[in-house]
Amino acid sequence: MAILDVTGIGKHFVMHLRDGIRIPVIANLSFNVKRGECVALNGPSGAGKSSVLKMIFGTYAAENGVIHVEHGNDIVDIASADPMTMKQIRRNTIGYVSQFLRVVPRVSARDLVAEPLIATGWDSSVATQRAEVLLERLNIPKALWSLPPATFSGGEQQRINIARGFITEHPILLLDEPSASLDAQNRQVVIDLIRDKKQRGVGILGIFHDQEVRDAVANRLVDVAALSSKNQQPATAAA
Amino acid sequence: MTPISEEILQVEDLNKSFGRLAACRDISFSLHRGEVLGIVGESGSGKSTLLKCLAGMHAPDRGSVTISVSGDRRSLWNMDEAEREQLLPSMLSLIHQNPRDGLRLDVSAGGNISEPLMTSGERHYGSLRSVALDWLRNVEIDPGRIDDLPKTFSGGMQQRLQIARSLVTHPQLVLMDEPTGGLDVSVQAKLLDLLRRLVREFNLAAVLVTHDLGVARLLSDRLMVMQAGRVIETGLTDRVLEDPRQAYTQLLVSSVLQV
Amino acid sequence: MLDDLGLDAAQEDYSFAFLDEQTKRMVRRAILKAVAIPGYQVPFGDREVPLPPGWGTGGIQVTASIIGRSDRLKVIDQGADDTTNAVSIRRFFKRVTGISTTESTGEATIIQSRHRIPERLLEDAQILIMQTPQPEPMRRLINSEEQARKLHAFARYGLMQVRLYEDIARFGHVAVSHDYPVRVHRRYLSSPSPIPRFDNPKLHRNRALIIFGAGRERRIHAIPPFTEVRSLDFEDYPFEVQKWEQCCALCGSDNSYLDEVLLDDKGSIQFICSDTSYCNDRRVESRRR
Repeated sequence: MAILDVTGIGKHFVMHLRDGIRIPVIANLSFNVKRGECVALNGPSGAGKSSVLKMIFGTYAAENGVIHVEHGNDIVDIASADPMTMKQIRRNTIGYVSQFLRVVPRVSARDLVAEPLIATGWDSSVATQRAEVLLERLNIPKALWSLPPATFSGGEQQRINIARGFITEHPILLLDEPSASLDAQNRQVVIDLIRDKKQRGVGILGIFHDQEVRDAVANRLVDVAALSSKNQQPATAAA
Repeated sequence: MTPISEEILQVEDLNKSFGRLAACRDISFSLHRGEVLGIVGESGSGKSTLLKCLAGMHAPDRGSVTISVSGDRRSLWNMDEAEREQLLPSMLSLIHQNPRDGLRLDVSAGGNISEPLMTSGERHYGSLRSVALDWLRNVEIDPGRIDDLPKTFSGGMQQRLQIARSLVTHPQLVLMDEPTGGLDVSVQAKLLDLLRRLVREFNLAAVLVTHDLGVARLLSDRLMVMQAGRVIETGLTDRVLEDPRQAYTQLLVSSVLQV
Repeated sequence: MLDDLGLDAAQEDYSFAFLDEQTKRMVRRAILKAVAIPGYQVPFGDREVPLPPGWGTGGIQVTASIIGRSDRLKVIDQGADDTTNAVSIRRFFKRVTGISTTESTGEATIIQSRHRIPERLLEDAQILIMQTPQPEPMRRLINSEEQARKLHAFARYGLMQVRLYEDIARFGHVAVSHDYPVRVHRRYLSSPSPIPRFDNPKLHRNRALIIFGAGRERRIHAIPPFTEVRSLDFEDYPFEVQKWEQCCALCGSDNSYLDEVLLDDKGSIQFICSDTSYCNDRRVESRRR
């Protein structure tokens, strides 16, 4: 059974500051993700792959369609969920590794990684332990753990972001180019981490620019450009 | 699954005018325990007036403000002044933009933190002292400065002292009026980190009025965008900032400098 | 001073006790309200009396409003009956009422006082009138009268406690020696007028009615007989009164409020009772024995 079921979703932006110009991003896209499988969104850059992830995470509103997700014992439609429910879904059901780490001033890498786990009710010392295990696995030098990641390199920040996304037990994980700025060694770590998650029954929806990673983890491809028929021009607003 | 937390604040159809100027129009929203609601908008949009209506300082012309006090729902403007004054400290506290408005500058740091406790009847000097010391540490002020006057503190320290004074009675609802306004960026960062930690540690429900979208993004779960006294857009913080619908919100978001 | 007014008790062409009857009624009403709400400051219309403001005009108006032909008046200043202020007020009342006066605490029915409460226990039929410069205990902490009144209305007295806290933090003890704030009948925070804190315990459940008159500030407050009066303090820093190692050099009392008196140019000092009537009584008593 699908843990995430997307039916006929559509998205466009109306740019009021540019005379109300309407920029289509996604139209009539449908797919699903099952437990323990990894689905890769495929398509050229600008096709709206990241937008799809953001719609599922609730960062973008879906103009049309239904996004059904298994949230606890319920099936909830994210496209029409209120903010309180969406917060709950983010805390317990859907994890998200964005392309860039949003650093928080003065919060150490270790605490930043442990934070999502503590938010779901874990004891902070246990969460910190788990954070350290992940940081070690992702080859973040121990000396950096207690520093805020604002000054880290792009690759280090990305690995902190991955650790933050992988630490929780969310049954659904959205990955936006998790291996983008990683070297071969760390790419392999990410592949292993994704495989672990799959084995534990987590449904993963990801964008993998890297062919090698995609081949290693993806069970299926969903072609975004091909499915969104009206998406002719590469939209500038689709980040 | 964590259940949806208790509703702490409920605002219904709140209206407030000053003469012919409608400062707040038809405002309704609710706030749950552990949730931070950011209110953004430019000066004159009505956000400060709204905050004052919530803080018991301005009576709204119409509408209600309901605050839960240990499970008991009380209508802020539906009780007499004496009762409101009596209940207010346990209901909420307001953190002013200017720490001078929330502190007594001629009273020591320890005295400032202890006063709300003394007002609510605490009469043990030793325990007041130890609570004040704990709070100084909590807001990262050297406990050795407990007997110093806030006059001798930097702006950031004064603001942290005000926060300690505001939270010492463990109010359920905290209202913040531009808490980082007027501070240096590095000092702001420390304060934001502190507020973030305290909101979590005490599972506070907080309303944060700010015109700084960066501050709003960092601290709030949800955003409410106000323009000309009305709420024109509301939703999860990242949704409002990344997928703004209204022309005004788009203008607001696109005006932010990216670092 | 009084000769200028052309007052003469025999002529009776002025009101009894100087104030006109309307004024006395107005002041009495304020006193009744003050008695009904212990510790609450009742406003009244201050009238001119032949004494400069700040010299006991409030006390004089209260005394003038309640004094009757059968009363016996005692007036003290800092515990003494023979200081200028006490003497002139006593003379004033003698002149405008024709009643008898006394220096003995036990004999008086009305005692007007500045800065002291007599050592001798007061009795049911006595009334103590205190001259009060500043009836608002929080005046030095809050400038706004409106705010002060709100704090009274809501009984939010944390600020006063903060003052005590600050003293303990700075000096290790509460450094208020006079006008030590009290809570009357567990409700209003009140000023006991500038009596030494030594006298504060005498306010508690006193048998006499105590009325505080502040002329310049136009306020009257009262402590009815047997009212609970607590001096503010902390559980771990309880209220304490002043103590002396010496006894009174004249009467030998070891439990009265003592004044330090300079005897000569060499700086020799002596401690004697501040309450002259009390000291005299004790000396007469011991001579008799």
